[in-house]
Parts: sequence; structure tokens; C-alpha cells
Amino acid sequence: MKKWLTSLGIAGYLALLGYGIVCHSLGFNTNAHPAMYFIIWDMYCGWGSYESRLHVLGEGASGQYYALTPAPWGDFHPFGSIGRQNYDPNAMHVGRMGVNALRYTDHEPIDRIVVIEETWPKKYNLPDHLWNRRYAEPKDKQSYYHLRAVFGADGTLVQRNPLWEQVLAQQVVLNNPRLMSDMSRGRPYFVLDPSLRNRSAVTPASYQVGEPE
Amino acid sequence: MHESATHEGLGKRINRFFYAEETPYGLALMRMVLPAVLLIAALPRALRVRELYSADGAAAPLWENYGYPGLLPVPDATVAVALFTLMLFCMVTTLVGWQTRISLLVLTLLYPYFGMLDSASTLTKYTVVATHALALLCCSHCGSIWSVDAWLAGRRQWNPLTARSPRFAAWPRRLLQMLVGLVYLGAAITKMHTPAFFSGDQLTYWMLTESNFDNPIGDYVLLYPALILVVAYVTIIWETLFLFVAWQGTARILMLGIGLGFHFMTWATLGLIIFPLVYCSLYLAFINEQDVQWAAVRLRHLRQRILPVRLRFARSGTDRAAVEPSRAWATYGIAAAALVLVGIELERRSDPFGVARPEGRYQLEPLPPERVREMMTHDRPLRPIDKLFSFDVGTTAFGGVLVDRRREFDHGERAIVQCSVQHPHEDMWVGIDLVDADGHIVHQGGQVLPRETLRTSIFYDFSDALADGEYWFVLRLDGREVSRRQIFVGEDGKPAGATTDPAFALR
Repeated sequence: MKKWLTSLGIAGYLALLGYGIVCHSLGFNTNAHPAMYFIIWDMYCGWGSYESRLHVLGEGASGQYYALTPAPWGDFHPFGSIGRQNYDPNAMHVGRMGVNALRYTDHEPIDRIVVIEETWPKKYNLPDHLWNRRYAEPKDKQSYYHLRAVFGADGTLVQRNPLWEQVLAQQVVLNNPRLMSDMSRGRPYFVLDPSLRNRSAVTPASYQVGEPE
Repeated sequence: MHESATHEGLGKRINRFFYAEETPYGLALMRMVLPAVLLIAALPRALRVRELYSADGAAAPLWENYGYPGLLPVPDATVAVALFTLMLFCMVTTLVGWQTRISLLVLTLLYPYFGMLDSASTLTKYTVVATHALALLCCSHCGSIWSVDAWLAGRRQWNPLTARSPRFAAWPRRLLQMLVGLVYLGAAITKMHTPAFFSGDQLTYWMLTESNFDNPIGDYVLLYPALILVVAYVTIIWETLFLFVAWQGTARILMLGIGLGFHFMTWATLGLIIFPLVYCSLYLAFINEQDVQWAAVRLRHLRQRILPVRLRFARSGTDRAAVEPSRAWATYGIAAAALVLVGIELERRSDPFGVARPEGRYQLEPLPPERVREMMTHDRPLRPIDKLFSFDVGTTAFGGVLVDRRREFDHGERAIVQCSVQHPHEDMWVGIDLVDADGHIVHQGGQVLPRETLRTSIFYDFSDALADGEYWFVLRLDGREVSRRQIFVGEDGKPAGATTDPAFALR
């Protein structure tokens, strides 16, 4: 009996691992449940050519901005030299990190928490001596900034935007007049009428644009 | 008749594979090494329990990422500190093999729980691999030898050649071995899903990232793209084969040897530390009784040669009396409870957020206006130079990637001029001109670089019509010059002394 139960356990465990491999191979149910994280082996599945940092700022009632990361009691660097907030690429939890900094510090009333993504091409991470061997051009790093998310002062999500690299990829695709025309054709839309300046500028009516019959 | 015999043979082989009895030397070693590795990652986090894992801080639960808010409770600070301290205690007791089964059981529950509570800075795939390993060790008898438990039971245990070692079915070790192979197979499938892995681009950008710990040679390896390509192909072949051939004989040694080299290089080039250590500790599941006896014989010979006779100590030939189990349990429980209480008190006194400082709570300082202005200027268009990753001239390409960089060419030679760009990028016109030393354009060329492609190459034949001398390949993106490379053509055109082009140093 004990051996039968053991055999059942062995078969069940191997079936579970096999299910993970099949799901991962076929892209099936990979994000269906947190438990899938424990049977999908997708280490280093992604990559990006831009290095990014997340800056969590508090916007005060006076219009002043305050850095909420690193927190005044110090940053936690889990896997290297950069702070914990940078390992939240989906900006799911950075709002809570900002709220935590607000909760334990003195400050003016804060209206909202703003998350700014700073990015630069990873080639600029090369140390100077290797840069000089690899490139003829001078090293002229420039950061680009992108509004990643906005949270209320209590951490409620107000707005979340895609990653900077995703925005670039979208721009690449959408910079196509034919595609934009296709996208707008046949879709209802709202009209913004400047003549209605003193009233609501949004006219609650929709229009269909289609090919003439 | 023949068919039934084959089936019986297969069944017997499977039965022997999983149920052959053995002394769990490999698992005992893993039991000692794995918790030590996990402690390396857990101790720095012990100072941040309130912040990382509690509702009084900024936990980052995994289940929220998957759209399951509230799937598991987020503990308050005191409970989190108590459980984390208990987890550390169990790591140490597992390491020494004290109440091994219960320690492993607690670890198997708490370790992934804390990982899931902080998906941002605790949970990684090594957490998952270690969780599987802990669960399987929990099912094994890894605490039956080389442990406090065995010592308390009064067994002689230290020398594999003389000990009365208990024997158990091999299936937990077999499952751990299969886990290692299946994880490698999954990793190989991930690479198959990533075309940039086969051009070396993925590895290149991972070596450039600052998200991992510092690494000693990653930046240097970037200078040798051919090496990256070779390693990429060797890696995927090894990962695919591992599950099928790493079981015995030379293949086992070869696969494990490559694995050790591979994981060492993930530290040396990518800056991974805990992941390779976790994985190397899993390799201990491949150690069997013969390996241990082989090592024990050689150690005995070594000891006999090195130590003088009078220093050789012989262990007592008789077993000790066993300690009463209830006393051992009580001691274990009291030690755990005492450590938890100490942990709670120490954490409370450490005042992690500084709310009880004599000078009062921390005050937020406003950011300088110029820094705010810089950060609030969003989504500026990319400079053309920031769309470029590299621009090189050479003669040999491997897997579509230029692997040599040259500056001196003879008439009749063909140059490959390659431009690699950042991802993502729009459909681009990559203009490449050949310009002489006086700035006159000798040849104009170029190619369309579609958005799905990361590099483009043009070939240039140096005909006899080209005078000896100095030339420049000039790269234009968005119609503007963004880079240029100096070359010399013909015997008379080659520079006498050292070159001024830094890229030449790569030759």
C-alpha cells in the first residue's frame, strides 16, 4: 500500500513538472494562476536594450516633489547596486513602496504619487576604458524619462502606462497612415468642438465613418 | 512471450530506478549545502522583514501580479518577523540535521511563502527551484546520516567505510535528478522561444545590465561576439541533452562538468550568485554510494600519508546510547520559541523606519527644481546615436554577426560593414558612405533595416580603382551622420605607426 502511494506521488509529481513543460512550450495557461510560476521554467525569457530605473515621487500640495525612493531610512538592494523598486517592471507594487515612505515620514500633504521611468541605451553601461576600445564616438549618455504610473496618496492606482520600450514599439507600428486610417474607420468616436468652449467640450454623440454604400 | 518479457524488464528497470535501496549520501550533502546557500540570500533580508514582507511595510505579493488579490494573507510585522525568524532557525537546523524532517517541512512552507510575499526583490526562479528541492528533501531520509538526528539516535555515521548506514529507496534522489534535467529542458525551450538568443543579442544585453550583481568579465566578453555565439549554441545543446544522458558513466561526468562551468560563467559574466550556488547544490543529488566510497578510500589514503600516526584518531567502535526522543523534541521547540521571541524583540528595537528616533521621524526633502524639470520632460524623441548599438568593419561573419574587426585592407579584399541597432526601432534607411581622406564621397550605399531586424551588413569590394590611402566608412541614420570608422587600403595606404582608431585595438 505504501509503495502504491509512493508510486502515485512520483507519477503525480512528474506529471506536474511535465504539465509545466508543455504549458511553457505551447504558451498555454502560463499566467493562469500564481502556482504556474512554480512549474514554468522561463528564466531570462526577456531582454531589453535599454536600462531603466523607476523613480517614485510624491507631489505635494505646494507643487514640490519629494523622492520616495530611496526611502530616508535607506534603500534595499536585493540583487546588486540598484534599489528594490527597479525590480517591479510592471509597476504593480511601486505605489505601495511610495505609500510606505509617506507613512513613516513627516511631510506636507501629498496629492499623488508619480512613478517616472528613466531609461538609457545599455551600451552606455560599458565602463569607460572598454567604451574607448569598442566605440570611436565619445560616450555621451542621455536619459529619457517616461511617465510610468500615477497613484493616489493612499496608493490607489490612477493611471498606468506601458514601459518605455513598449511605447517605442507601439510608435513604430502606429507611425503608419494606412494603419491609422484602418483603425479609425468604422469606429465610433467623440467629437471635441472648440465652439463649445463654455460648455462641456465633449459632445456625447458618436459617429460612424465607413465606406459609402 | 518476448513482448511480455520486455515489459517485465522495463517494469523491473523502473522499479530498480526508483526503489533500489541506498544510503542517501548525496541528499545528506544537499541538506547541508542548500540551506547554507539560502541563508546567504535570507540574512540581508532579515533586517528588512517589516518592509518587505508585512502589511506594515510594502510587501509585493505575487498573487496580485496574477490578478488574485487576497489569495494568501499578508501578515502584520510581528507575525512576519516571527515566521521569518522561524524560517532562519529551520535553515540552520536543517543544515545540521536536527529534527530534519520537521525543519524541512516548515522550510518548505515558509520559504516559498516569503518569496511570494515579495515578488519584487525576493522571489526568483532560484526560489522556485529551491522550493522543489526542499519539498523533495522533506520526503527523503536525508537526516538519517551526517546529522544531529543520527548522533542523537546513537548511530556511528561519519566514515562511509565503517558506518552502519541506513538504506532507503532512491526515489527522492531520482526525482531531484529529474527536476534538474527538466528545469534545463524548460530553460532550453525558453531559449528556443527567443530568436535573439541565437544571435547573441540577448546575452549581450544581459551582460550589459546593471540589474544583477557586479561581474568580473561580462563586459570584456562583449568584445568577442564569436565567443558569445559559440557559448549560446553549446548551452542549448547541453541543456537539451542533460535530462537524457546525465545518468551514468562518462556522460554523467561530462554533463555535470559542463554544468559547473556553465553556472560558474553565469556568475563571471552575468553576476548571478545565488542561482548558480542553488543549482550546484542540486548537483549533489547525482552523488551515489560508489562516489562516496571512492572519495572515502582516497581520503583515507591521503590522511594516512599526510597525518603522523599519533594524530590519527580512531572513533569509538561502539554506538552511543540514543537520546530520548521526547527530550530532543522539547529542546528543539524551546530553542525555536526562544529564537523567535529574541527575533521579535530585536526587530522592534531596531526601529527600521526610524519612527522612534530621538530627533523624530524622517522628513522628506524636496527635490531640486532642475531635477524635477528633467524628470518631467517625458518621451523625448530618440537621438539617432541612441538608436545605434554598434558600427563595425571586418571580413568574417558568423551567424550573421561580424566576429572580427579590421581596419587594413588590400585591393581585392571584401569588407563587411555592419550596423547593429537598438530594439525597438522603426523601419530605417541605413546609409553607409565610403569617404576618402579629403572628405570626398567615393561610394554611397545603404540598406533598409526593417523593424524586426537588429542588424544589417553591406559588402564592399576594394577594387584596384581605389587609390591606396586612408578612407572612412560613414554611417547615416535619419539622414544624419552618427558614426564613422577609419580604414586603410593598399600597402602604401597603411599607417606606419600605431593607429589612432580605438576600435583597432579589438583586432
